[in-house]
Amino acid sequence: MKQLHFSYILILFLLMTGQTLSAQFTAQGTIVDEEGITIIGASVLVKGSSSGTVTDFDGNFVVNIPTNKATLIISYTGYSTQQVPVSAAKPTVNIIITSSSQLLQEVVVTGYGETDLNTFSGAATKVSTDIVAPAARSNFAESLEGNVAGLQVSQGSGQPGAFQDVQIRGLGSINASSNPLYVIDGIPIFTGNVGDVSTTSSPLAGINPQDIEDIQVLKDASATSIYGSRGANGVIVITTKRGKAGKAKISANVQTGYSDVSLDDKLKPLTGNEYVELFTEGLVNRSDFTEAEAIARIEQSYDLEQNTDWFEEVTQRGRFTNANLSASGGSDDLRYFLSAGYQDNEGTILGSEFQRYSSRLNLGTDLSDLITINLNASASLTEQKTVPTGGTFANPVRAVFRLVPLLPIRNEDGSFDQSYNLGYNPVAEAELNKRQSNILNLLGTLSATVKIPFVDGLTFEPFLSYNSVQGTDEVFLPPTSGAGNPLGQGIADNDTQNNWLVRNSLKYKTRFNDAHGVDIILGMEAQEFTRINIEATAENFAFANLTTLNNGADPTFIGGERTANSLVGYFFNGNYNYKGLVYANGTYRRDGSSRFGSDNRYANFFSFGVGINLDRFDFLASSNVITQLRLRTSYGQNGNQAGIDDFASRGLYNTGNDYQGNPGTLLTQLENPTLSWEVNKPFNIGLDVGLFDRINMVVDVYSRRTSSLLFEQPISRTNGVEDINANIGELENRGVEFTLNTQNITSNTNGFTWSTSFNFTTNVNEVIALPDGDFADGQRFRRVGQPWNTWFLNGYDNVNPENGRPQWFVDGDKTEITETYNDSEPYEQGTSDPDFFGGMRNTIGFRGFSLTAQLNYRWGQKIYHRWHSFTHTDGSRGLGSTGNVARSVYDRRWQNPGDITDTPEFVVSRNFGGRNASTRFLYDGSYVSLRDVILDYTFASDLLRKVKFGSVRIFAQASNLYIYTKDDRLERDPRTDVSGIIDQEIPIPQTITFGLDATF
Amino acid sequence: MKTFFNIIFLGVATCILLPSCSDEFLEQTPEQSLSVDNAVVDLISLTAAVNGVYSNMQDANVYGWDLPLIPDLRADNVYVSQQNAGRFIDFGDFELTDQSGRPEDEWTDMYEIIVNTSNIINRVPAATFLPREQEGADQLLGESYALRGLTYWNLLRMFAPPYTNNGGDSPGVPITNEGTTGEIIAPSRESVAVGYQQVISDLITGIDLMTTNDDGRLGKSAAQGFLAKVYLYQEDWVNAETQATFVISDDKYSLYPDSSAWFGSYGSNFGTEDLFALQNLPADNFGVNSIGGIMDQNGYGDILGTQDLYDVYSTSDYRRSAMVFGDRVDGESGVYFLSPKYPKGELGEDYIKILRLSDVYLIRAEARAETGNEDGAREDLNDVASRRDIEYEDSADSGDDLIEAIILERRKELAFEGDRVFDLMRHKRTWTKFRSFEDEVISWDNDQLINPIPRAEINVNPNITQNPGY
Repeated sequence: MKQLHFSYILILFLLMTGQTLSAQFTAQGTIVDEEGITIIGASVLVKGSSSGTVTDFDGNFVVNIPTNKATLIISYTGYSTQQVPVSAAKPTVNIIITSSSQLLQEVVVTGYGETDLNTFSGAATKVSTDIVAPAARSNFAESLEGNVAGLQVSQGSGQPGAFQDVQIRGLGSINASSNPLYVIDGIPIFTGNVGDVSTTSSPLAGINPQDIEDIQVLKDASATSIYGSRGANGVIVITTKRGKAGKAKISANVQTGYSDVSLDDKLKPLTGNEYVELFTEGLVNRSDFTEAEAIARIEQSYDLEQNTDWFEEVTQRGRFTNANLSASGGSDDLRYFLSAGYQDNEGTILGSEFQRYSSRLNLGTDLSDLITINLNASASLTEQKTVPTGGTFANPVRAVFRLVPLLPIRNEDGSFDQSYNLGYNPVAEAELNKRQSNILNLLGTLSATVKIPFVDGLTFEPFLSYNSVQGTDEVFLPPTSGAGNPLGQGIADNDTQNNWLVRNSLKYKTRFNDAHGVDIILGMEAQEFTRINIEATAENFAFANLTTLNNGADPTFIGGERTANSLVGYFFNGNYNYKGLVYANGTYRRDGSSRFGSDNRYANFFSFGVGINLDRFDFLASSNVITQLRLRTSYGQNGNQAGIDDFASRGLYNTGNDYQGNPGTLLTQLENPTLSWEVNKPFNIGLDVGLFDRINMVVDVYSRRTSSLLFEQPISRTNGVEDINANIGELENRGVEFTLNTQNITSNTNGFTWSTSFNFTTNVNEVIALPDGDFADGQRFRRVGQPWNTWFLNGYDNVNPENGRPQWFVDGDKTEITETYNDSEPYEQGTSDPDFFGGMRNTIGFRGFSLTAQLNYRWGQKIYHRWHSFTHTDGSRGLGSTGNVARSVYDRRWQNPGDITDTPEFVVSRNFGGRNASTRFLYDGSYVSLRDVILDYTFASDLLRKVKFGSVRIFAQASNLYIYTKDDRLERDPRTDVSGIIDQEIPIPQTITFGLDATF
Repeated sequence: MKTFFNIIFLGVATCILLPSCSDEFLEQTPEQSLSVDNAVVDLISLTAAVNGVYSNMQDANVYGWDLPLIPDLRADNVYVSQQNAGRFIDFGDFELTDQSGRPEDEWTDMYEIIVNTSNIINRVPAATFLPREQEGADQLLGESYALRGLTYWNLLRMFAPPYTNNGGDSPGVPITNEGTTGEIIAPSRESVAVGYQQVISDLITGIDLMTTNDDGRLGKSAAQGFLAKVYLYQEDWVNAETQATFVISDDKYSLYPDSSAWFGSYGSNFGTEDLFALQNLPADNFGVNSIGGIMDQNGYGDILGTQDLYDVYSTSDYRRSAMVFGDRVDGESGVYFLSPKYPKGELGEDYIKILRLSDVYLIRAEARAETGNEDGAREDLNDVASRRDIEYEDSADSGDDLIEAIILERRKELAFEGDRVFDLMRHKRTWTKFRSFEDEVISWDNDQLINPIPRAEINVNPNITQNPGY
C-alpha cells in the first residue's frame, strides 16, 4: 500500500516537471455559495501543479495555468470540494459551491472571533442544536453528557434546573473550580449558585436551549489560551441564533409529557411487617427480650398495623411542558431573531419544580458599508422550588430510607402526625413549606464591526456587555410545619451578581502573493464582577397564607454583604497559513486580577500550534477515499482563578461573630501574599480523518499539567484556622479522545438512512507533586503518582461467620482481620474517576421518520454512599423513628453460625461498629444508560405547501429509560456528582414527552 | 447606572490602556472583614475582638452543646435514649474514633479561642487607647487572659488525663501563645503540668488586670472561681480555699435562697449565683442544635436522666424536679426528661451556666475538708444543701464520709451542667455507665473518657502524639 502511494506521488511529480511550456493562460472567476454570497478565501488549486490561489474580498480569483487546459480544485471550509475544468478557450468560470454533507464542524467560534477549522491547530468539538433543543431538560449542560469526547457532566441530582458539574479533560483543580468557563455570545458569564435558599441552581438553566445555534467545546491550548487566566479547564462557547436576510421564518414548538422515578424491588424501603420481623429479631438477639416482649416493646413505640410506603408518599409524577415561538429574517441591512419560550418541569419529589420564561432579541444592522452593529438582548426568569438535601431532617429523600414504615402520615383527626423525625413529616413539609428561588437573568451586548477604510481586511470591533443575575429567594415555614415549629419562619434573600465587560479588538485578515493567509486579533478587555447579597429572616407568624416578612412579629436576622473582583486582559492571536496546506496559530495574553496579592497580580499566557492538511496536497487532493487528512498539534499555558474567594490572599478578621448583641470579630483566614493563579500547560496532538465523505474520525491525544494549584492546605488547628489558601502541588491529566461519525447508510432510492456518532475518552489523573508529601484527607488519600480522588477507607471483610460480627482488615496487607474497628487502619481503595466514558448516538431515518437513540457509558469509578452509615446500622441506632434500615440489611443479615454474608447480625441498640466508614459502603459505579430515545416524523413538504406550512415535525422523546449497573450491591442510581459521593439527592427521573415543531 | 456608563466611557476612552490605571481598577477591598493588622488597634476593635471570642465560646462544640453535656454523659447522670437522632452516641457507647466529628470540632474551636485571645494579648501593647479608655481596655485584656486560661483548661480536661493521674506528668495539649504571626506552626504536646501552669498564669494575669464583673462575661470574680477549681483539680487545697474565699466574699453574688430563685435563674436569665454564664440571644440563632434542643422533647429529646441520679435526691430536695418523669413519644416510657435546667429548649436561647457560686462553696468545702478544717467544710456544704432541701439536716460527717458527701452534693447541684465526670476522674473512681440497654462499669482511666486527638490534626502535625486507645 505504501509503495503504491509512493509511486502515485512519483508519477504526479513526473507529470508536473515533465509538462511542456507549449501554452499557458490566465483563468479567473468568482466563487459564490448557494445563496449567491461571495466566498472570501476559498482555495483554488490547479490540479496536477503547485500553483494555486485564494479568492479575494469579492470572491474573485486569478490564477495562471501553464497548460492550455486544466482542472481547478476549489475547496472551502464547510463546502464540498469541487473540480472545475478550464481551458484557454473558456478561461472565465463562475463557480457555485455547495454546502458539504460532512458531519464535522467547519468554523470554530472562540468567543474572540471565528477561525476556519481547516487552519486551526486546536482541539474543539461542536455540539449542534439538534442535541440540546429537543431534550426534556432544563439546563442545556445536562445534554452535553455523552456527546463530547473529553467532557464529563456529573449529574448528582434529579432536581429540575440543577447545577451541572462539568469537567473537560479531567480534574484540573483541587479547591478552586474545575468547571469550564462559559461564554455566551462573547461574554464570559457567572455560572455559580445564586442565593442561599435553593439547594442547587444555575444561571445556565435560564438559557432557552431552543435559542442556541451551536455550542463549541474548546479543550486545548490553541483553543483556550486566549482566555488567559480563565481558560485552564476548557471553555464552552454558546452562540445564539441570528437572523438571516430573507423572508420571515416563524417557528413554533410545543412539547409536553411527564417524568417518573421508580425503585427496583431490592431497593424499596422495608414494609411494616418486615420492620417488625427484623427489629423483633434484633431485640431477641440482645438476649434480654423474648420474642413476645420484643414485639410488645416495638408496640410501645409504634402502631404495628401501620404500613407507610414513604417512597410512594414523597414521590410524584412530574409534568413537563415546553413551548417556544421564534421569528427570524430580515433585509440586507437589518437582520433579526426574536424568541419567547416557556418551560414547566416538575420534579419527581414533592416540592421540586422549575419554570422558565425566556425571551431574546438578536439584531444586526449595517449602518453603512463600513459599520455593522449587533445588539443581543435576552431576559429570562426562572422560578425554582427545591427541597433540602444531604443529611438534614427536612430532606424528603432521606425520609424515604430513614423513616420507620410503622409511622402514620396523619393522625386519626386528619392532621399531620408530627411526633417523629424532629417534627419533619415529609408529606407535611412538602405541603406546608414554601421554598422558592427565582432568578432573573438579564444580558445585553452591543458590539460593532467597523471596517477601517483604505486598509482591506482591517476592522475595529468594540464590544460592551452587561449581565445581571438577580436571585430572589423566599422561604416560608409556617408554625405548623416541622421546619417552622414552633413560631414559623420566613426568609427573604436577594442575591445580585452583576458583571460588565468592555472589549476592544482590532482584527486584520489578509492574503498575499496568492499563497499566504494571515489573520490577526489584537485587543484588550476589562471585566468586573460584583455580588450584592441581602438576607432577612423573621419568626412568629400567625397566618399560613401571609408569608412575607412583615407578617412575622420577630425580625431575627438581617444581613447584607458586597464583594467584587476585577480582571484586565491584553491579548493577541495570530494565524498564518500557506495556501491552506500548512498553518500555524499563536496566542499571547497578559491578565491581571484583583484576587491575588499585589506581588503576583499579573501573569502571562500563550499558546502555539501548527497543522498540516495532507488531503490538500496533490497526492491526495483527488482521492475519493481519503477526503480529509489533517494533523495538528499545540502547546501552551493558561490559568485558572475560578471558584476562590475574592479576597483569598488576605489575612482576615470577619465581622458578624457578635456577642450580647454587640459586634464581634474573629480570625477567619490567614494571609498568603504570594497567592497566585493555577498554571495549566496543555499539550495536544490531533488527527482528523475523513473517508469516502461518509466517515469522519477525530483522535486527540493530550496531556495537561496543572501546577501551583489553589489549595486549602490543611494545617494544624492550633493555628486558629483549619487551612490556608496556598499554591501547592501539581496534577496531570493525560488521555485519549476518539470520535467517530459515520453515515452508515445514506439516503438512496428506498429513503433509508442510518448514521452513528460515537465517542470514547480515557483520562488518567495523577498527582505529580505535593509540597508536604502524601497525606490522608478524610476518606481520601492524596499520594504522588495516584489519582487525586483516591479513596482511603478501612477495608471491610464481611462478617465473622461464627458470631455475625463485622470484621475489617487490620491494614492494606489484608492478612489480618479484626472485629474492633479502631484496630483497623484505612488504606487506598481505588478512585472515583472512571476508567473510560463516552456515548453513542444512532439515528435511523426512513421516509420522514427518524429514530435516534443515545447511549451513555461510564466505567470503573468507585462511588461511596455517605449515608449508608445510617441505613446500614445493623440495629445500633435502636427503635428511633429515623432508625429504619435498608432492604439489603433485611435480605442479607447474618442469622446463624456459618452464614456467609457482608451484613452483620441485627442487634438493636448495640454498636459493633459495622456502620463506621469502610469499603462496606464503597461501590463500583460502572453503568451504561439509555439516555435518550427520540422518534419523530416530518411531514412531506409538498403536502405542507398546500397548507402554507414550511415544515411540520411531530416527535416522541424519552430520557433515562434504562440503566445497566455493574455492581449488584449498589443500592441506587450510580450517577453521582463529581465527588463520587452519594448524598441523598433527588433521583434522576425518567421523562417521556411528545412534541410538535412547525415552521411557516 | 450612571456610574456604569461613566466606567464604560472611561474604560473605552482612556483608562484601560494605561497600566497604572488598570492597577487601580484591580484594587478591591473586602467589605465584611478587617485585615489581621487592623484587628486589634484601639478600643473599638479590641471590644469587637473580645466579643468574637465570647461568640466562639457559644459554639455548639464549646459551651453551646458539647461541654455542658459530655461530662454528664460519660458519667452516671444521663444517657442517650434508644430512640435517638444519632447525636452523641459515640460518647454514650464509648465508641469514639479519631475520625469522630465532635472531638475534632471541639479541638478546632478551642484552638480558635487560644489564637484569637493570644492575638488580643499580643497586640494590645501596640494598640492606642485614650487615658479614659485604659481601664476598659485592661478589663478586656484581663478577660482575654482568663478566657484563654479557661480554654486551655477545657482542652486539658477533654483531651488529657486528669492532673491527679500522676501529678501532671501525662501528655497534655500544645501550648501556643504566639497568635497569628505569618508562620504556620505544628506544635507538640506539653505535659499536663505545664498546661496547668499556663492555665494558672493566664487566670492570675487576668485577675490582676480586671476590675469588674459584668453579666455574661468572664470577670474578675469568675476568674478567681475558675482558679479555685483549677487548684482543686491539682489538689492544691490551700490555694483553692484562698481563691474560693475571695469569690464568696464578693457581695455581688449570693446563693439562691429558695426553689423559685433557683428555678428562676435558668432559661434566659442571669441569677445571683452566676459567676459566668454565656448569654445566648435569639440573634445567635442556635436553635435545636444546642444543649436545650437535645433535652427538649419537642426538639431531639435524646438525652435522658438516670434513675440512679434521681434516687440520689431526697424527696424534699427541689432539685429533683429538674428531672421530669414521662413517656417519650414513640419511645421509652417511664424515663426522666431534663428540660427544667434548659427551659428554652429547642430555641437554643438558654444561658449556659459555666460557673456558679454553689460550685465555689463546694470547692471550698472540699479544700477545707482535705486540709482538716472539717467545721468549715461542713458549714460550706450545709450552706448549699440546706437551701436546696427544706428537710436537710446539717451534715455531721467527717473524714472520707465528709468528702464523699461533698462530692455527692456536687453531683446533685451541678447535674446537667457539664461537671460530673471530672470529679469522678480526679478522684479515680469507678462507676456504672447507664445506657438504654446495656450498663457497663467504667473506671476513671478508661481510654474513651479522653477524646482522641483528631485525625485531621495528626495528618498535618507530625509533632503530635495520639492518646492511648485510638
